[in-house]
Amino acid sequence: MKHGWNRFILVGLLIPLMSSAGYAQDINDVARRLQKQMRDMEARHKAEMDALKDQVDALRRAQPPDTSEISERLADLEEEMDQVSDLTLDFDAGTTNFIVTGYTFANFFDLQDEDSSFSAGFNPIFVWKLSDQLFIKSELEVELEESETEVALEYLDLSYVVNDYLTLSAGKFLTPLSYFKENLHPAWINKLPKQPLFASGGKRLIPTSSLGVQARGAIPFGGGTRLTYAAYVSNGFTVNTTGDKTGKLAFKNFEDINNNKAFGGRVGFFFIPELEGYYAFNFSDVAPTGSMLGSVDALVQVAGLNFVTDHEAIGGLLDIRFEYVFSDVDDIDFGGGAFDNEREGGYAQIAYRPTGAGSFFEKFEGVFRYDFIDQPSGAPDAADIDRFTFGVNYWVSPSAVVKIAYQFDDVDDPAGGTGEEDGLLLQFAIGF
Amino acid sequence: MKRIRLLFTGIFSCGGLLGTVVLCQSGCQSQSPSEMSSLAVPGMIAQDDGAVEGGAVRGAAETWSATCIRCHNSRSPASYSDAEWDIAMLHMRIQANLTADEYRTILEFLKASN
Repeated sequence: MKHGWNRFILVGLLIPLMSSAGYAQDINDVARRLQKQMRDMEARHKAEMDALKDQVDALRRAQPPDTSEISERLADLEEEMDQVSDLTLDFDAGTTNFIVTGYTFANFFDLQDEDSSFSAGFNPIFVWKLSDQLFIKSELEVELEESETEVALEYLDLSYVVNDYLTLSAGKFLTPLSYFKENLHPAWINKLPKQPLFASGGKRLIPTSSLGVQARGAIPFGGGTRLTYAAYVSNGFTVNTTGDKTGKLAFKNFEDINNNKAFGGRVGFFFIPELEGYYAFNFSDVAPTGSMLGSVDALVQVAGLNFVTDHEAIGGLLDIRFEYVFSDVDDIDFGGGAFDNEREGGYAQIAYRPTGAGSFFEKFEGVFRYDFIDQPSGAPDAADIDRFTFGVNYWVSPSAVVKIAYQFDDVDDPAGGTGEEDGLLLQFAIGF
Repeated sequence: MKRIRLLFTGIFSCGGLLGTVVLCQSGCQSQSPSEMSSLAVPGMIAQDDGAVEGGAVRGAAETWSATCIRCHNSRSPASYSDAEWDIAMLHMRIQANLTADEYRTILEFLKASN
């Protein structure tokens, strides 16, 4: 019966063994499955890695070239830009700014009974802007007179902008009396080679400039209408007491001839932006201190109209101007008997440029001016002159013009003189 | 001659009044063919019809054109730098009795256009 227990022990031992063997068999199966899964995963990852490697290689091949050279060039350019900026800062530094502007001209006049002649002039204008309020401008006039070069100070104007409506000025300023003389006389603006009779030359009735102080400005009223004004006090004029110019006003007032100052002003009104009417006057005692003449009052009055429009309805730029000057000096006996010392002058002018006609014709401008001077019949120079001038201008640029004109003079002189004659006028003028 | 003076005075006065009437009939809007001409504005206005920036630009351009031609041709905005226009426009403000609005409007326009 020993064998029975042995069998039982053996079975008892085998059972666990058999169980453990079975368990081991399960583990092996799991392990094999895990190993298979791992091999599968490894195969998949390898494929993905290979694909990623291929993509990276492709990206590397598509990368831009080395940018270090470009970066160096950019750095050089930045350095050059800094140098240029430093240079411009040298010019921009400070609030004082300055320009030179002005105009110049060359003439050829061929007048009846006079030798034809060339002439030229140069008018530089110096302008300083010290600040938004402080401003200086000055014009020199360099002219050739016979065999001399004449240099004159046409104006020297120190201005202070008080506010939007008022500017104060002192010095030698363009007299706000004649609109033509104040604004239109520069050679590149004047549409004919000569100025009207009342504005220039030996028969002039108005000054170019005055030494004194003035206030001026503009007041808008809306809709393009505005009021412009100027008021001034200056050295007074004087009156010629001898020679051909007896009774005429003399306008060089570098020093006042008496303690009475001249005062005057101009008021203008824009009815519409294109149409301005104005009135101006100047009043002074023109007798020198200590003169035997006593007090001699002189009143110069000016009235005028400006109409300027550039409109499609008329196909171009139309410029119509009219100015009338009346000079009334007390009737004084200068030694040859008293006479009615009133003088009149004026001009009417029309100019047209077909700005809508195309690039060739738009540079041509037709001009016609009528101007006149009336002098008192009892004066030494009593000639009345009516002048008709026809002109064609060619605008090389907006501020450079070639003018061709012909003037016809009608002189009524009790003394038999002929005065200005008919003739050809040529001028090349440039504003700069 | 006095009759001729009266005649010319009448002609020019009527011309001015007629022009005023024409303008008012056209809405008193000063449209400037010179803005399109190479003479007044070489190579500039042709690039700016105001359509892109609207009424403000067109208003400034018209103010510039209409104001300058009161005395002289309009110079190209490119003829001066910004600093030079600062000086030149102050000179014109005083000389031509411009209103403050005209001065500022034209100055800004010139600086933007040069």
